[in-house]
Amino acid sequence: MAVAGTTLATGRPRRRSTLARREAIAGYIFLLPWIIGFLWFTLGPVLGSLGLSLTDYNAGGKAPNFVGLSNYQQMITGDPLFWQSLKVTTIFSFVSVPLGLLLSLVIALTLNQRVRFLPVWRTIYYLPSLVTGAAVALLWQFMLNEQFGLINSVLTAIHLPAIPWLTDEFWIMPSLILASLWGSTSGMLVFLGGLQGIPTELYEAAMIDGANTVRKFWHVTLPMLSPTIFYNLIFGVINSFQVFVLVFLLTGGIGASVGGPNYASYVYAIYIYQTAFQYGRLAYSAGLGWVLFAVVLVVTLALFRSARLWVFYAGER
Amino acid sequence: MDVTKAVSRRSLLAGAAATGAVLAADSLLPGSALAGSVRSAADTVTLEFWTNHDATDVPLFQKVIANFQASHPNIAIKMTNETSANYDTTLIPTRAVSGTLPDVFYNRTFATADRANRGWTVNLNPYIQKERFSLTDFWPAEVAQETWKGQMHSLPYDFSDFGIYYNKTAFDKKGIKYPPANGNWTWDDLFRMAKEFVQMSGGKQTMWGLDASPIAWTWPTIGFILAWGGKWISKDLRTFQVNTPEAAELFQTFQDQTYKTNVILRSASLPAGFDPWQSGKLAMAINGSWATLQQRAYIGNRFAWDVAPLPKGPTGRRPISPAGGAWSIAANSKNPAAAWEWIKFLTNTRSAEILISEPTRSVPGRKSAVPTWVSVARSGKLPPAHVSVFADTMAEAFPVPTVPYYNELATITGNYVGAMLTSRKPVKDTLAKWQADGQAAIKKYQF
Repeated sequence: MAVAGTTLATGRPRRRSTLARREAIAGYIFLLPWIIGFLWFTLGPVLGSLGLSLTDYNAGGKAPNFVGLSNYQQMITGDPLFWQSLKVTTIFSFVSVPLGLLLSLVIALTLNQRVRFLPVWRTIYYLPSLVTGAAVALLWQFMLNEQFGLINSVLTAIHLPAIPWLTDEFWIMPSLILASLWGSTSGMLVFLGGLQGIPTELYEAAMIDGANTVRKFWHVTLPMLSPTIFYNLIFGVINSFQVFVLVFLLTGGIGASVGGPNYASYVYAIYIYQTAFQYGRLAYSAGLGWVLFAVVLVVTLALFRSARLWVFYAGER
Repeated sequence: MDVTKAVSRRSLLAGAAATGAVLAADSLLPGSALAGSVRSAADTVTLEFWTNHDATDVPLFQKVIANFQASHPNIAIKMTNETSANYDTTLIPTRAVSGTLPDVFYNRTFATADRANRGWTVNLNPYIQKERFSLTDFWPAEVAQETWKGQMHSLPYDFSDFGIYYNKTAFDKKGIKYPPANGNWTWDDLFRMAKEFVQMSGGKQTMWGLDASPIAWTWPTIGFILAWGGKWISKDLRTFQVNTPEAAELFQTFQDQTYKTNVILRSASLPAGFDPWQSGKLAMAINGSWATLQQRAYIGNRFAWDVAPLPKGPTGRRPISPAGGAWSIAANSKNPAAAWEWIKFLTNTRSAEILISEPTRSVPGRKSAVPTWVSVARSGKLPPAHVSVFADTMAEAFPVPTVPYYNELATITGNYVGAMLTSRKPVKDTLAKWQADGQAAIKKYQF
C-alpha cells in the first residue's frame, strides 16, 4: 500500500491513497455542520458588520449608503462619548485585572496549603464565581448603598465617614472594581491547578540551597506559574474590556441612566449597546465594535510580546 | 466503525434531499408563515397582535378580542403577550429592521416619533380623515405625543401622570394637615410640610419628607422644567434649550432640599427592591397613576395613605408631562385596513373600560372611560380615596411632542440630572454641559 505524502525518487509527491482520501472526505463531512454554522452565524455576520460600519445605516426604512470611513472619523474627531467610554473601560481594565490576578493568586496559595477541611474551604472560595452577573450586581447594590449598605455600616461603626459609592463620580469606579473582584475566584481555580503542577523537586532543591519561603516563592513558584498568570491575564484583559452586565445593572438606578453619574462609569460595551439598540445607529455601533476589536487586539499582542521577558515554559531552552 | 462505508457520497446526498423535503413540507403545515399566508388568502384576514403587559392582562385582552371578532368575523386576531423586559430596546427594533413587525403592536408615546421617523409605523391620517374619526375624546397631550410631522402614528391606550402619595398615619402622628385635595398648594408649601418629618437617629437619617426620584426620568423632567418657566426643545425640534435660569432655579431648589435640609431622599442610590415609601420611611412620594393597585397590595394595613395633586410651580402650573401606551400599525403589515379596524376597536370606550378602568390600571387614554375608572377605584373604600386627582390633573398636562432622538436625550438627561441631584454637581455648569451634549445628540438625527 502506498504511503500517503511520500515523495517518489523523481521528486514528485505521491497521490494520496483512496483510503486516505476517503478518510479525509469523511472528516470534512463531520466537520461540515460546524463549518456551516461558523460561516453562517459567526464569520458571515462579523464580515457583514465590517461592511455595515462603512455605511450610514440607521435602522430606518432607507437603504444604507456607503460612506467610507466617516463613522470612524466621527468617533475620533467628533464624539466625546467615544473617548470617555474608552477611557473608563481602560481604567477599569488596567486596575481590576491586576487586582483580580493578585487576589486569586493569594487565595490559590492559601488553598494550596495542607489545612483541615481543605475541600470545604476550596468550595467556599469558589462559590462566588458561580453566582451570575445579575445577582452579583444586585448584591453589590445593597452592599454599596450609601444609606443602608453593609460596607458603609461598617465604616460608620468604626467612625469613618460613609462613602457615596454609587452616586459619586470618583467612587463609582472603585465600586465597580470592588464588585468585579467578586468573580475573580474563577481564576483562583486555574492558579490552584498551576500550583499543583509545579514539581516538588524544585522546592526540595531550593530548600537544600537554603531558600526561605519568600525566595522559594520568588524563584520557584512565580516563574513556574508564569504561564498560568499569562493565561489568566490575557483572558482577564479580554473580558474586562467587554464588561457590561455588572455596570449596566449596578448603575441602572443612578439618575435613571446607566453609566452614571455624569458618565463616570460609562463603559464601552454600554455605549455600543445603547448606540445600536436604543438609538438605532447600527452602522456606527458596528464601527464601535470593530474599534474595540482593534484595541483588544493591540493590547493582547503587546502582552504576547512582553511574555518573552517574563513567561517561562518548562522545557524551554 | 468504518466511516468511509457508513457515509458515502450517495447516502449523503440522499439524506440532504430527504431533509430538504421534510423542511419544505413543514413550511406548508399550519403555524408556519407560508401556510398562514396561503390560508388567509380569501375569507379571513389574520392579524398578528403584540402586547407587552402582565400575564394578568391577557384574559382582558382576550375578552376584547372576542368582542371584536363577534362584530368582525372576517378578521382573526392572533395575540402574543411579549413580557420581555427588552421589548422596547431590542425586540421591536430587531423585528422592525427585519421587516417582520406584527400587524399591530404596543407602542409607547415617547417612542412614537422615533419609530415613525424610521418608517416603521403606518400614518393613520388617511383613515382618520376618510372616516372623520374623532380624536376629541383622547387627551390632547397624548394625541400630541403620538403625532409626528402632523401625522398620527398610533392611537392612545393609556396615559400616566404623577401625584403626591402621602402617609396619612405619619401626618396624623405629627398633627400636620394633609396636602390639599383641591391641589391648591405650591412646592414651597410642600417642602415646608416635608421638613417636619425629617428625623435623625445616631447620626443616620431615619425618615425623609419626600421621594422625588421621577424628576430624573426625562418625561416627567420636562413637566418640572416647564412648570418652573424653563424651556425644553424649540418648536422646530432642532434646538435643545434646557439651560435657562428657571431650570437652574428648579434643580438648585431640589439639590438644596436634598443636601441642605435633608428633606428629599437621595433615592436614585437605593438598591432595587427596597422601597422606603412602603417601609414607612417617607412622608410623601412623587409616584404615578399606574402605581395605585401595586401600593395597595404592598402596603396593606401598615399605614393609611392617599394622593394629592402635584403642587404648582412658579408659573402657577403643575409639572404634568404624562406619557403612556399606544397601538401602532406596522409599516410591513399586509392588512393595514383590517389593522385599523382592530386598533379603533381596541381603543374605543368599552375596550378601555375592560382593559384599564375596571382593573384600575393607569388613566385610560379615552376621557369617556374615566368615570368608570374613578368609580371602580373608589369602590370597596380602598385607598387612595382621591384617586380621581390623576384624571383631574391630566387636563393640565403640557402637550410635549416626542422626538426621534428621545432615547439618546433620555440617557443624557438621566446622567446630568443624576449628577445634580445625587452627586451634588454645580447646577449651572451641569446645565451648560447637559445642553451642549443634548444639542450634539440632536445633530446626529435626520428628520
